[in-house]
Amino acid sequence: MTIRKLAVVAGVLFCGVLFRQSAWSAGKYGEIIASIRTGVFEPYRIGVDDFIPKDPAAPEAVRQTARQISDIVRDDLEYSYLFATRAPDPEYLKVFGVEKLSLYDWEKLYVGFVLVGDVETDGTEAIILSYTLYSVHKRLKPEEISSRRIRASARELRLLAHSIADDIYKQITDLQGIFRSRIAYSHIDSVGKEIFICDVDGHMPLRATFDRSINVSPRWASADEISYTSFKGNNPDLWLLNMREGKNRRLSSFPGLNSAAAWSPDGYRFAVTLTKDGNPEIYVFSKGEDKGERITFTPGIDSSPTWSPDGKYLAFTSDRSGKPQVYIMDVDGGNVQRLTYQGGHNDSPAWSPTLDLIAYVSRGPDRRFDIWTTTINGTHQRQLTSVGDNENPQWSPDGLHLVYSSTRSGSEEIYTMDFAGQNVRRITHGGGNSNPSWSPR
Amino acid sequence: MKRVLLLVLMGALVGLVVGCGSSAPPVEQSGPVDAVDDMPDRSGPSEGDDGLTDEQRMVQYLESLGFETVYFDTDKWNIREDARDALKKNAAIMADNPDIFMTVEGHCDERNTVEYNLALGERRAQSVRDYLVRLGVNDSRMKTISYGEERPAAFGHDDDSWQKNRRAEFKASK
Repeated sequence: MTIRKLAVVAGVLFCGVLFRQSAWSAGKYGEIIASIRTGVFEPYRIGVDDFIPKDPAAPEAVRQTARQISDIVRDDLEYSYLFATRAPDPEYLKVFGVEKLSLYDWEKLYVGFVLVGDVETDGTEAIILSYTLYSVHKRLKPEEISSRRIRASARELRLLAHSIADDIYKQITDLQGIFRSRIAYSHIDSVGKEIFICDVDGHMPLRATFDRSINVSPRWASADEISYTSFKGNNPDLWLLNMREGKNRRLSSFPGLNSAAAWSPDGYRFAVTLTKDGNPEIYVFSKGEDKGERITFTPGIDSSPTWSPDGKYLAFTSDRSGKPQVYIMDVDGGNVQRLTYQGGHNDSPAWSPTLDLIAYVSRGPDRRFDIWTTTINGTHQRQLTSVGDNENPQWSPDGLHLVYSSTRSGSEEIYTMDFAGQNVRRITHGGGNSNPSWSPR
Repeated sequence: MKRVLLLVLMGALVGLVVGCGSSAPPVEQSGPVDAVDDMPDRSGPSEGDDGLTDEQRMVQYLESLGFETVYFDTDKWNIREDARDALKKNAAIMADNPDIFMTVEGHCDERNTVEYNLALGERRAQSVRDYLVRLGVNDSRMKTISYGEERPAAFGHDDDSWQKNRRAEFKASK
């Protein structure tokens, strides 16, 4: 952004900064979510300075490491939706006639917060990182909010940077960040489909299953557990992979389908589609118990359940009207209400944990599949995608982002975007990636 | 059909004989590993004159039964007019071979989500099974499985491929 553009928005931002300072000291999750819901949210403006070596004579490698960490922190915060970030653009340095921006310089760039940091090495493989968060005010002295010093392995540099972003995010918004959350997805290889897991920004992809079978619909049961449907036992059974213990066990293996598992927000129950009693119906199980409760009773397909944040309702897909549509019911199966009416095919609902929105997939008149959101009372449908086939939306734990698969690049890849369809980021490459799911924090 | 069965049995016998014959001299371990792998495996399936194992011969036999694949309309699982003759033929094969079992595999095209397609594929397999029951095939001889969109027969992204993929396939077993 040029200085001229900055000047244009300066007045608005000035008020914004003052408002945000009071909001920051009050500490309020609900306030932020409410302002996002009503569309009046203004992002927190933060300047993330390039981190530098503590010792000016440090080798270039240390300078690069420091720089890389601040780049990741800035990228995380910018991605979060709650922040608008600034980097120490060379243009600013020229305008201010300095080599490094002071806190007073940063304030003139209309930020409310500034993060600075430095890196030391002690001759080992570890690095020691110090960072300080300031709030800056017009005509007032900058205030130090917090300062931390961390020693970490240089090999876990990305994780370190994400944890700094989480810390800054928490300190300013009082919300838990999502930067260390991960994304599970199915990846096709020559033998079948396996489950993979990557960081929220697509880095560090790891293979989680080695079944040489078809593994679909990974869903995080907790931060360490993923359930998925696999054909490895010659029947589509539901399996639970515990990554901490390295164990894999069958959760549900009734004859026929055991698919589309969805975990309740408290993690104690799961809803699943079974065909053991005939056609596809939804059942609710308590984790660790063999007997579930059947909650749908229709001759057609009932599938793809998703929990409301309070665990009292399920949205799901049913073709009881003749075409697949999204419905909501009480968790005991009562009080079924149809949610979607537009278009002949609406499927794959996902209930935002924070925004009272349900994302779903709709087939348009041109027969492409797009991600839409609707409010939970069925008003305000909003189309978020418009190129390729876009499927399987799942929310981030803060409810502000969606992960989904799309064929817009010609092959099937995983993307993320914010709840308004902006800030689109592709996180996989090479094709054959589908069925994503976002971990808890 | 009985002749095929007889062949299978004879093959098994020949296989047994070959298996016994090879049990006499111990295999020299000095040669390349490949050569050792080529030796008849005494514990595994045995080979007959045609160079096939019992297992392969059984697969060949079951495939030779000639079950016909049937196709579906988009998002539908009802049995189409053009599928009825094929299902009658499949029911007749089941009647002629009272010792075989059948797995009905439901498949879908790539459009729709993975989970919905798994459900839809199951529904297609079930509707075929129910139709075959009405044609006199015993329910206990049939099993259904849905592969959803996971095992396409055609790999294009067009109407023609999609139609080929919206199908029920039949696999025989003993």
